[in-house]
Amino acid sequence: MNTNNETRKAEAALHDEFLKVWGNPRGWRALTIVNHTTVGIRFMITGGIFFLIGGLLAMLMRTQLALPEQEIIEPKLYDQLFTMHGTVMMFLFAVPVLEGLAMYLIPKMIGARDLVFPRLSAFGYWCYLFGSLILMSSLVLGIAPAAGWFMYTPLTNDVYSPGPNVDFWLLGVTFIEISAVSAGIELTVSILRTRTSGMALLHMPLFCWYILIMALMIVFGFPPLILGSILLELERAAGMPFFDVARGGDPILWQHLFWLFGHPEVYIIFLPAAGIVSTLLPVFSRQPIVGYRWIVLAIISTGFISFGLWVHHMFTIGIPQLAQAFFSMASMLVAIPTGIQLFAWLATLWTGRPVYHVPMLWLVGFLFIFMIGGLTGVMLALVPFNWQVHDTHFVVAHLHYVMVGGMLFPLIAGLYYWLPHFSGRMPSDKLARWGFWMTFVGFNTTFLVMHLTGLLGMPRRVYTYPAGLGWELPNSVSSMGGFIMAMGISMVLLDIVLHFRFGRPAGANPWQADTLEWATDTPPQPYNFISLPDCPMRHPMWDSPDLQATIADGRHGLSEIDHGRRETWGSDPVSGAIREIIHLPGNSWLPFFSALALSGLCISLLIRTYSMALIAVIASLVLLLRWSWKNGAFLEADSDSAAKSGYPQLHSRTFDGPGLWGMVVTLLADGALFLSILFGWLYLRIVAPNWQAPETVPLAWQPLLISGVLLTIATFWHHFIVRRLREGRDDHLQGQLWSIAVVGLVHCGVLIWTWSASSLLATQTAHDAVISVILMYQLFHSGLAVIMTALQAMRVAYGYVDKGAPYEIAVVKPWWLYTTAVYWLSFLTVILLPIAWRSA
Amino acid sequence: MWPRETLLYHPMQLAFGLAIWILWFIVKYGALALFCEQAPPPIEQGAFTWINAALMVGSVAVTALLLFWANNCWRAARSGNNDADSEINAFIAVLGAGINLLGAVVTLSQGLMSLLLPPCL
Repeated sequence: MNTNNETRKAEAALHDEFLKVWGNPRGWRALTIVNHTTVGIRFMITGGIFFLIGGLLAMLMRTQLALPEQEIIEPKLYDQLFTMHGTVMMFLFAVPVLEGLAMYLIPKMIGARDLVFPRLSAFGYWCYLFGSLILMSSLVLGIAPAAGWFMYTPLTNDVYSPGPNVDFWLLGVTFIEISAVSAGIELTVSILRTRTSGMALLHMPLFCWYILIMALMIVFGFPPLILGSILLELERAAGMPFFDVARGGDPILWQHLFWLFGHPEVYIIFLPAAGIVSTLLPVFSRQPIVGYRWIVLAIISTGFISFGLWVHHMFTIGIPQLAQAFFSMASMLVAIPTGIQLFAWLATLWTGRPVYHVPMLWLVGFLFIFMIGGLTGVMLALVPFNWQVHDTHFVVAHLHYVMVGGMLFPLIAGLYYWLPHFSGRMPSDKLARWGFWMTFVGFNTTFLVMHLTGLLGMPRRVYTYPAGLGWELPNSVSSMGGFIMAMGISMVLLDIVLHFRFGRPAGANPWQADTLEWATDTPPQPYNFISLPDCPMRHPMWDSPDLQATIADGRHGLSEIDHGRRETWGSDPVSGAIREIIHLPGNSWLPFFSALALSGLCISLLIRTYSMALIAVIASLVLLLRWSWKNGAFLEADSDSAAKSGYPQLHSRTFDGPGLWGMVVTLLADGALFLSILFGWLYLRIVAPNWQAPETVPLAWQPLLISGVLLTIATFWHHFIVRRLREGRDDHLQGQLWSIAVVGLVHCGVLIWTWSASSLLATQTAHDAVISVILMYQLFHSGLAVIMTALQAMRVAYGYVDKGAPYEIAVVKPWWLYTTAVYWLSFLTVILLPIAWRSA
Repeated sequence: MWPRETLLYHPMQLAFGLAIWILWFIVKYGALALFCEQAPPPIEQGAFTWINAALMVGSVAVTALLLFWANNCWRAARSGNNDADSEINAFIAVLGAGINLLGAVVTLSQGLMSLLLPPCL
């Protein structure tokens, strides 16, 4: 008895020590919290609220369409409703909620204490919140975007859409996308570099595979839309004609950029939901999933193939038949990996001993609905059928079968499954079953019938319709179904709200699950695990049922906290072998204020007050640089980096810490944006019907060459410094860094001079406008390289960076390399290629 | 230079086959647009044009490369021992074989379209 009491006292004391370091503040200081559990929950709750708002907009539309020739909602408002419904559901609900769930779960599933860049998570959340509020304010003010959620030009240019409506969408959504991309980077690096000891790729929970691929898809998929939005806003605000045919642009370029994002987006939403299915089915089938490797193969394949389908949204715009056939074939082939997953799930059910708790109801509902959505998807991949039903309610029905079936149903299954984890309590079985059946019946009543409405020829996005076309009955049925579904969702919400008060305590691991998140307390502590266990297995909770107790006892790794640092393992991305200790940053106001400054920029651009925008830019830059200054290698991290013998070094003592990985993944996103610019340039050059290129290149090539050589010298010099640091030499480090910054600055100066001396007229032709954008892009990167290097030189002076702590300089190196590669690629494409074309 | 086995067990195998496919797809789509702009063949030739022939030859070459690589990965996966490293290597090599094979299937399926349709209509 005494021994037990002593053990409990020791556990409680250790817990208190951990809370001193990891605890979350209350009151106003709660805005400084960066912990993944809190940030993940904030994402999910905020996304849930936007789901209800989006649903309300849908109900208004269904009310209007319930009967023919109704005048409840006027056409202009109806346009705003369907635009905001799509925008809210896709950008403000689906992606953020799934990211929030991933942020909450991933560290717990891989045995880590937090995500690898906690302040980036918090920054992403604030950007999401502020961007969403800016966008939603347009609805309240009655000036919401009204051109459909994919914002096609020329409808969205300043001639056909004057006023700020479209600007709200372009600026608001771009701001929100910062959040999505930062989450993508965060999740990728966390999954690859912070798994607990021994968790090799082949042991990783399937949910992590799904999230890894989703995160990488965000990294590559969102930049084309970010670019498209920037270009369209530049066209509207500054008159740069990217999509204006008369001045050499092409509105079809917008469609390409939008769907280059838009189609992968469908899978960005579907993959995490499928991850929920692959996590829950084995638990409720009470046996491991059938075909783990097959499913991993399917996840990776889906991620890739989904980038080769975008043109199937554009089959009616006049693309050559052969090109259409390429995309049509890819659209059908993507059914193969989806089919693999479906058969693996069925096989797991077939060979297991399934128990039909509430989450299973939603999973079965998912299988039924998503299968129909998949089949109509294959129908739409066939070009002649696609032409027939394009822009009809058939497409709306298909979209909802895919999105609601493929995302919402698994999400609610996951919500019920992890509810005891969030709250420590169980939901009501009776309310939950009512909620499911009403949603399921309501959904199918709404959308199964809508296929027929579409086949009868009813176009989407019309605010009313005349009687006598045969559309009355299916529309009335759809509207009734919509309200039944709304009641079902209300029932689910009621259940969730009530369970916090009346739900019975869940106890430990209430579903007898196999993954590590169930080894934490429920609800979890901010640090997740007191000690970090070895995990060379796929089903740790099945293989070691006492894991929760041994973790809480501090019997595994990294259970020391007397140093006062937030720590987690840094591991090998393939084998999961421990490489270093990652020192995580703590709570801070910087993410909040940085996002606030950026939202100031967003608002000032929206109201076109450019002096205020400049102030906001400077404020953002100062805050972000301050963040980088505080977030680097910490002085206090230095003193006891080998606190316990046998432990590896802190990451700031290495060349390969998480910051380097974060930088490389960031540059992948950046590279996707740059390639989208090059795509735009080549597309307009080849396809635009009125492309206007001058006789001679409007930029002098000689100074450009000199500028490029200077940049290359700076990059090689920086590379040389890193190599010397690796050899343990840091003599004249500060002076060399200052010199590199000066060379980079001269490169920028020559580039600016060349631009100012050129004959570029960015508002006259698309040709000059695109070159101007490329120059801006280059100057942004070159300028930032100079600033980062100058900061590094200052940090050397302060003693933060030297051969003992070389980490930060190694992080900056890929930026220089990337900037140089971009420079020469741009030189090749903008200067040399046109010369070659002219001489051909 | 890395030994052949190291390459076959390298995690890049998890992306290699489909990355090659997507690169070929970009080249193919871009080249089709460029050729149709610069030198469109007569419509009456149907699918029997030099553009179709070039796309088909390219597709077959990429498919062959991916099949070859899939075979190498498969053999590498079956040649390991039973220690922990071999388990990880085999996992990557088997997945690599699958990804390369799927890349080959997608490349060939799309390439076959060149036999059926005129390029610029």
